[in-house]
Amino acid sequence: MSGALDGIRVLDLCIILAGPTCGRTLSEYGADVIKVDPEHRVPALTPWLDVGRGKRSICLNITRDAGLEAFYKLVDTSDVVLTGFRKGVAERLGIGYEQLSERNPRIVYAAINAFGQEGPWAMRPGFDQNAQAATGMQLRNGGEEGEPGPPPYTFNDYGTGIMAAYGVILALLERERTGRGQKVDTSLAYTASTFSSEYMIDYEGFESDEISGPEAKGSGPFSRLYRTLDGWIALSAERDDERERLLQLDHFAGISEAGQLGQLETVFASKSTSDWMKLLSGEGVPATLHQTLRDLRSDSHARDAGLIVSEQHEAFGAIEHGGTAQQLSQTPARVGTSPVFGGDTESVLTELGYSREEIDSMRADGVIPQAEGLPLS
Amino acid sequence: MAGALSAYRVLEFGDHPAVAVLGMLLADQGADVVKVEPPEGDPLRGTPVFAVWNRGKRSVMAAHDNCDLLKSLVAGADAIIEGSHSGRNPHGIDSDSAREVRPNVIHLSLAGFGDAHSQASTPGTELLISAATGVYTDRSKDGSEGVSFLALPYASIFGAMVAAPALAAALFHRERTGAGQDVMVPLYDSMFTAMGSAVVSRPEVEAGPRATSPAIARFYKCQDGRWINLNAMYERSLRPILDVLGHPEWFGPLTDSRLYDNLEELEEWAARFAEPWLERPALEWETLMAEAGVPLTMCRTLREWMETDHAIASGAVLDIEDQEFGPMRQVGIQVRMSDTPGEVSAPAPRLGQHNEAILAEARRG
Repeated sequence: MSGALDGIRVLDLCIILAGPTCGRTLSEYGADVIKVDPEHRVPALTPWLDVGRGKRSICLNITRDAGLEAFYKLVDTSDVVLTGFRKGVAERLGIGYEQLSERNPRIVYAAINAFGQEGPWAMRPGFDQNAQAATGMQLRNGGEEGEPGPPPYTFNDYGTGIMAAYGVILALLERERTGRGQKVDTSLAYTASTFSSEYMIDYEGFESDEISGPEAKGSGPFSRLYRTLDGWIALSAERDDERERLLQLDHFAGISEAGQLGQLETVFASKSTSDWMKLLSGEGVPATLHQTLRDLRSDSHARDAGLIVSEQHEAFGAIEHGGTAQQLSQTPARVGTSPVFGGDTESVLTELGYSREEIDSMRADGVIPQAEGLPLS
Repeated sequence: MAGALSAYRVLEFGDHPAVAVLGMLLADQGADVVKVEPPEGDPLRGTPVFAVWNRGKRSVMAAHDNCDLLKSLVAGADAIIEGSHSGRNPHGIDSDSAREVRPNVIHLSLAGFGDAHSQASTPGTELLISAATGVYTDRSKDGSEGVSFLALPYASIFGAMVAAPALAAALFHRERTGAGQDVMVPLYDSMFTAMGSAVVSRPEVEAGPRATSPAIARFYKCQDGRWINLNAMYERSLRPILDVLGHPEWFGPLTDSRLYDNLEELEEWAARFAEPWLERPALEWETLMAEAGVPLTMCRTLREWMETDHAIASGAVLDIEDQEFGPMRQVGIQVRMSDTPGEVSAPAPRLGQHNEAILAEARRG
């Protein structure tokens, strides 16, 4: 079976995590994604093994005439261009939306950055942590007194790339009707705002009840992590019937619906996590284990479901990385492998119609690297 | 100009926050999202967040056994999205029964733990999915807390985000081939996408010590007790930082790669680097560093962010007139499309507000 985006070609000029996640996501849906980097901007290996998956990689210096010319030829044969610049930078390089759209009106163009394309901060540089800092995520994690901190995973980077992919596919859908591409704009700060949407509210009389700090254990006595005899258990008895089933257990005799936190803590501390799991699941009270990433690495379900994938990579040796979460019955998602940095430069240029001599001369002029395939940092 | 999804009707079933957020992402881009609610209404009704996550939708109230109404809704739908606390569609509509009425419908299910997980039948609440996937890892400095809860519903919203392009891709495929399909996005599975590069490992390679510059991903306390986040990922940012800080002479030592092999000396440098920040208030540093092109941001509260000129001018927040809460400020449109800009077309609906209108549409065919 083929992918939903079969036949769609994407040029990915993005770096670090958010932008490259957009290209990786489009590749999961079947797009042919070509990552375009300058030779000197060497990505770090770990993120490359995650967000480089399913792409081809070329090194091309587009600040040189011959490099820009080759990039324009790629644009002529492509459907989508992904960029991650501050406002105005792409235009300076000759690869802004208007410039590329004039060459190829069908092009869909994504602009992904820290603070968006509008407003007083559009020119500010920034990475995910900056967007988190600006939007309250880090102060909340630190609490009243503590040093601010990010959440354990980079939700915001990945969320931004995935939201950009959503915009790109919407633009492709629209193009089916109109024949024209368009520009898609999203930012790390917008994603942080979406994650904050439950509390990012104001109206007359609104009172926020955000929970903060590393000492927080939950949002209420029945939706909370409790210490057990040998670890932790997460209790999520949020519905009336679930609470009733919990409180009818002998262990909880005398504890009211309103929930006395101290009493509940004492009761949960009296048994092991596995004893509680048996008891609660038998009664239909929603609960689960607290697990860390280390626990999940040895979890057979994560392997069986393809959520953690082991691979023998021809260049990088034995590696483990994530899989895909989305399951589509007719156009299954594809888990690709990561390319060697710059390893597809020559083949992509050849596909574009460049001759041996032209490629050699681009090499000699430093427009493409001397070697095919470069080490990562 | 209409939104990119304005040609499509999506039926939304279920009480999980993730499906409400997915519905919002679709409605913001023009989809006609019809929220099908049981007679008692969505459990979040009456709370402020209901007004956010359900904006731009229409509401139909339907008893679970009102087969005629449900059938006529499905007959007019391009896609069905569902996500429930119980794990089952409260109105009993699965992909097979939907396809009997509407053969090329797209059916998207936001499951909790997913069918193959040993806890498949456990409700996939925000708390349980997060606890099971390492989100509540201890954030205390000394590791004394054991676990640390996070207030933002990352798992539910991230799952909705993963589902949005999946639905768009399925619509694209249907546009090209005419075929619908089933899409499944378990929230538990989506969390592995969020873990991302944290999952990456090379079992045969020893992980070395990870020493980074005191200018990368650090928090510094300023004169006014407020914090800044400094994230100079590129060495080229270091020179302007040191110029603004008044210590250009630190450039040499801080860019000497030998420093990063000597953890003790690096710690001394980190302590020295923390001092100059105490000379000015955080906002002043942010302004000065922004002028110098340095990625430095004052750590703000969410309230402060909502009130920045930037949040307002960039549309990170927007104002609507809600039917219950009156004039209301909410999150803006996440994805901006130049030719088909999204919008919040209407406030969140009252329960069953659109029963008559939708029945009339169905009668007209």
